[in-house]
Amino acid sequence: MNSKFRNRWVLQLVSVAAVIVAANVFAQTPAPTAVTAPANAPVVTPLVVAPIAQTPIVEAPKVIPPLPAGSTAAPGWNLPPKWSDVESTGQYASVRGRETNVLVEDSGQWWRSLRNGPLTFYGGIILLVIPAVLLTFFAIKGPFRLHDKLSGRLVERFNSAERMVHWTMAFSFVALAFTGITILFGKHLLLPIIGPAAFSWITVIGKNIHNFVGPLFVFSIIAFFFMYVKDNIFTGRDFTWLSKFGGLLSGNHVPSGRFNGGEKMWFWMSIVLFGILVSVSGLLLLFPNWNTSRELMAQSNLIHASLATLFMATSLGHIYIGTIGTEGAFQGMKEGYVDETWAKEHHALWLEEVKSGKRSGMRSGMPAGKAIAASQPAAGDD
Amino acid sequence: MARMKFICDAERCIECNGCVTACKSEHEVPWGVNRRRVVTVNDGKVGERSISVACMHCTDAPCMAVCPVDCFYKTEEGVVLHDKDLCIGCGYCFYACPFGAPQFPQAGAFGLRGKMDKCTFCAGGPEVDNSAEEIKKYGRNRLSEGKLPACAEMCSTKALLGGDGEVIASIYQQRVKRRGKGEEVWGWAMAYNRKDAKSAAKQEVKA
Amino acid sequence: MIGAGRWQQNARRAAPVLVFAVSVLGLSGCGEIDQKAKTEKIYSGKKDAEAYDNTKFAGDKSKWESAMVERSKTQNEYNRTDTKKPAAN
Repeated sequence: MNSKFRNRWVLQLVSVAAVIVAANVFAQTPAPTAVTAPANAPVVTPLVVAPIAQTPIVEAPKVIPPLPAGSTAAPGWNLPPKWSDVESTGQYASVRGRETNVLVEDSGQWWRSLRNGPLTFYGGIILLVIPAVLLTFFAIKGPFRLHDKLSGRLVERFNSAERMVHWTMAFSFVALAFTGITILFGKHLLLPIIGPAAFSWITVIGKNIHNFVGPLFVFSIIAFFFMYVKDNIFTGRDFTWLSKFGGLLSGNHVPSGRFNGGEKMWFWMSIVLFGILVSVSGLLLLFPNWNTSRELMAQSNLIHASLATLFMATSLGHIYIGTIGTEGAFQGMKEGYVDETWAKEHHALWLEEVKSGKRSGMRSGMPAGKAIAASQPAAGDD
Repeated sequence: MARMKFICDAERCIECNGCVTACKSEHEVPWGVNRRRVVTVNDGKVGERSISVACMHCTDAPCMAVCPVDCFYKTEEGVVLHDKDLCIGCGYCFYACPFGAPQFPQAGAFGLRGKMDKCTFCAGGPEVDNSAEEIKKYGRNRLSEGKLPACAEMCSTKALLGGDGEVIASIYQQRVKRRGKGEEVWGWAMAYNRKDAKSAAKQEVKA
Repeated sequence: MIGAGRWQQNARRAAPVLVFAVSVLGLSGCGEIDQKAKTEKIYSGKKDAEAYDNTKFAGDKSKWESAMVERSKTQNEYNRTDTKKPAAN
């Protein structure tokens, strides 16, 4: 190849690249009204309270900046307020009301950029990826099946009060999740499809459902905590369970008590930690008459939405394992009874406790003709 | 194209709340709703300033960005308006707005928020201009009558300027050139227009 | 090698054209940036009539705008109190 030609060719390519790079660097210089405007100056005429950086006036000025020549002003006695006096600080306003005396509150910009940015983006990704992963897992491996035949003997796993609290929490959670998702993601997903009027109706109904179901959820979490905390205390074997992923990889169940390590994780992390934080932040948002400041509401909203997204993501795992993911698990929460085979395979130590009489396998009246108490061998067994 | 703007001249505002009253009377807003308010910074201290604040009709309006039902829109003149029929009263615009412009009439127990109400730059809303419905929901539509916002037109010291951005900016510029700004706006000479004040102003312009 | 030589010749002819085209493409990056915030396009609700779409201005935008500018100027009381122009103007 002709080296002279090649040099020219290379030169041309380099010059083109330089032109493109230069053009794009020029083009990407931020526009004056770019979305990433600084927090305390969202496109307002800056003439009004120009932050003239000068020494603070307390009572008598210490350092007096020079006045223009010929000015008759008394030096130091008419300095306009500094920006820091104005920004987010309460002043005086004759119009009464919450924070009417705050001229500029800049925390909203911070809230807006986080909510409309990472929270919506990564929250949306999490809520799409988790179900996809679970469904893929289900499609490949299918549910955890029982290895033995059903024994026909039933053990009471959840009494009626426990189930009632669980399902109150579950249904209110689902209602809150769907209405919350509408508020955060609806305008990107649903609004373009159904139009603004219909979407507004759905959201306003959703908002009211969210507001009124919310306290119910809070109460159910409190009741749930006291009912279930006893069996959810972490013990040494739970860490063994967790370190082996509950036998997911080996296929051998690690023996566990009434609740295994995974269930305890779900209890402490999601229901207790997320539940408390989401409830507290939600209650702060629920009552505008508590004189909550805008900054606190914005912070609460961020905590509420981000942790609720994680709560929803983890709940998808819980729902999967509790329904289609594990054979016989759903029956335990729906009817309260599980088969002894199921108990032996999933919660062997719990079954032992029940059998040895340390723990009652029958804490509520059994439906007539429905099941046989754990201690009585079923006919045709052995 | 006209770009509608407010400027409040803090050197002139005497905190008479005439703008607040003019707005309330023009639009007959419900109790507890104040589309405009006057904030006095460093009240009673040296260098006290008052400033009238309402919706600033931002170019990149935070309220528009965070609204979960997208009920905000912007007119050709840059006035940020919203559709109360779509508003769900969630309060997000209130969290986002740095000026505290969005107002919520109480609609029920526990401070439940009603439909948001805010300064419309006297441009009404998405109803037929000056129809009974528009006046009820958004107040008067003065812009369609060729008038400026009531607060600015009523301002007794002409501290609050409203209207075409270029015009009001030039008015303000003219003022600053003539009388100075900040600390310089002070003293008998300035108040009573003595010769030394004029020479001061001239010197400043030269500088 | 003959084929390669022809390809080189073609490339040689095409190169200036390509350079020109790519430069134009690159230059187009210098064009005006959209100054409108993204959020301005999202509203899809009821259409609001423009301020000049009424009997008084009969849809004449320039008439309305000049009326607004004139009205804005009335806020300058220097024009009323004092015929002398300030030093700057």
